[in-house]
Amino acid sequence: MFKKFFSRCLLLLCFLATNICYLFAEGKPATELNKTVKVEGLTGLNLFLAQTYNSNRLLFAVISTGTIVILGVIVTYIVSLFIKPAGHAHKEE
Amino acid sequence: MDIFNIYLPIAEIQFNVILLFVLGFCVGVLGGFFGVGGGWIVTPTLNIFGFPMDYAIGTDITYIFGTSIVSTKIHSGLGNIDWKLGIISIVSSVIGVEVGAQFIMYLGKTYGTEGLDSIVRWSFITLLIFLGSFMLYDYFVVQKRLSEEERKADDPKQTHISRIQKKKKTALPIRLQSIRLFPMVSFKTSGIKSVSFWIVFVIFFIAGVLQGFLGVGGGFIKMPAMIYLLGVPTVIAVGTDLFNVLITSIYGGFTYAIKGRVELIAAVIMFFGGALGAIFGSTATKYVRGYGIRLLFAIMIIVAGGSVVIKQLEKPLGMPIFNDISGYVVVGAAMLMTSVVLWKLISSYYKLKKSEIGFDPDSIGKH
Repeated sequence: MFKKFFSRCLLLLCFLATNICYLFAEGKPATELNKTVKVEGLTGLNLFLAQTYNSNRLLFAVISTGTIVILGVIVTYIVSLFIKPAGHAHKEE
Repeated sequence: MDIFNIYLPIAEIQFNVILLFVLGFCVGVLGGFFGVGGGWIVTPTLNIFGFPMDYAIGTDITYIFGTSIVSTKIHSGLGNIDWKLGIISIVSSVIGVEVGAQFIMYLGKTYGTEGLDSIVRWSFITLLIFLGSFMLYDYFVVQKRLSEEERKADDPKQTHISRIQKKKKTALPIRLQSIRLFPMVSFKTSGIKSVSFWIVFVIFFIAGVLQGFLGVGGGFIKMPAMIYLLGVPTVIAVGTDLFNVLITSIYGGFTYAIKGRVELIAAVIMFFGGALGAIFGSTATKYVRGYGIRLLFAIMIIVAGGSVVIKQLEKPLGMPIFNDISGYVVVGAAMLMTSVVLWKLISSYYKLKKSEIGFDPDSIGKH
């Protein structure tokens, strides 16, 4: 319970720190950071990602991070169903 | 092989799906087994096969963060994570990273970009080779001592002497733990009854400074630091380091994505390979003894150091091919090491089952 609370607080702090730094960052971003990607000829998921990338970089970052988190949680859940860790770690070398 | 090529809309390149999956799998196995992120394998490989360097780094961090969720969960189930130590290590190393980054800025102003590049590369090489050699030395000393102890096992007096020698040789964590500097903390999972908070802080702070100075994830620094300076058991060091990698790579992945340097489709494909690999790598720590992990880790970081030396030859010899050779050395070593870890996992599992059941699976079909 305690460790879960701590790790969740840390995760939240990391996200908040990132967002606050982003919002309060001064000066213009470097030109290369404003790069846009081609959308011609793209369809489906590729088109969606390219359009989001071009129009809203923060949303793109949230989608990227969120996708990996969701996939990570799903895979972890599946793994925990199939693999039952038995026994303890080798505490002795 | 072109049929396996897909278009990656953000990096705007064609890339082979199989290569992404296999690369993800290998790094997943090694990451789960050694407790490292594996950026030093993924970044040069993606770069060699056509990813621009900045996209290679951003995609690599995002993928690492996904696989660390899986590895951390498995290690947590195996009881390999010291959460308290993990949280202190994250906070201390983040402060250290900032100091390391400031030091880099100072060196950049003093020596210029080329001078700085050279200083960082040679420091990286020195650290990798020193750490690897030290761990190899330690491994062989312990092996020698164990075989001597086995030989003298019949003589109680001799066994007592060798125990004293063993205590003397593993005295560094004990000496550090004996420093009484308030506040004292304990780490139950790691078996550390009492150690000064400041000792732990300073160790991870220095690891963080090196991390910020060298621009690396830092897993290969923190894992040995936990083992040799704090006396944390190897598997706990691996699990705790992975928790550290998870938290730091979430931050890294997000900032790189804001900068538009994450190729999400490639990261997702690598993640599926990596998640599968992480299952094997993390589970292997249950079957391979701590010293076995240390030996393989030592070999891997020496090879990594060698690959950076090869990369260094590129400029003075004016031959860009050394950059590619360096990448191929890392990829080759990673694939070889993955095979070794998988082989160790399968053979150890096989041996364990044999000893538990008292049944020889080889006898099937012989009767």
